Amino acid sequence: MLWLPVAAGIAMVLTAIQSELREEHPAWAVVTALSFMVVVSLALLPRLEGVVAVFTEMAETANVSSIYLAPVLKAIAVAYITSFGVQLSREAGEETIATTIELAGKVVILLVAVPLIQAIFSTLLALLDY
Amino acid sequence: MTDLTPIYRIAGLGILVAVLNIFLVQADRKEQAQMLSLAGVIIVLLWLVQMVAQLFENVEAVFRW
Repeated sequence: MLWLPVAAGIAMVLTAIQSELREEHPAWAVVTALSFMVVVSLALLPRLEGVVAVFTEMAETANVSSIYLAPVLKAIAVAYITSFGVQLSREAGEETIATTIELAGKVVILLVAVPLIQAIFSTLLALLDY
Repeated sequence: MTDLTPIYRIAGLGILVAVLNIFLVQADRKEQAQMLSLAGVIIVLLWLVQMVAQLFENVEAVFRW
């Protein structure tokens, strides 16, 4: 767990530098934030992989079909990826770009969830003997 | 422990560009200073694009089932 103090320390130093960069060189401020985000996320992902592995194992033990678990995991991944882009462009003051990426993420999550909605609908119809 | 080399590389290029920028501004070459700053940002962005691609691939791989 040595990476958490390191990440927090780098974050503090960068926060101090960012307040200067944001006024003098806005482009460098964005680049700095992006590089920090990418490095920390790359370091965190292997840990997240373990958590996801436990979840899938639990689902297998409980006999939950992959049709139901896969959309959940995909939605989480889409949320992560879109939040990276949205947060970065919003901080740089590009509200239009951020909103567009947000919309794209929502549409993709909706597409991922379509099989689930279909399953709920067919279950409902079966309950009603339709 | 995670690999911090990219951070140091980007910080080094940033400091180098900043110092050269100050030199060029002092020598009354504002145009070149601006170009240098832009070139530095583009170089760092080229490095970052590869890292972002790797990050997104990893996210995809982690949440694939």
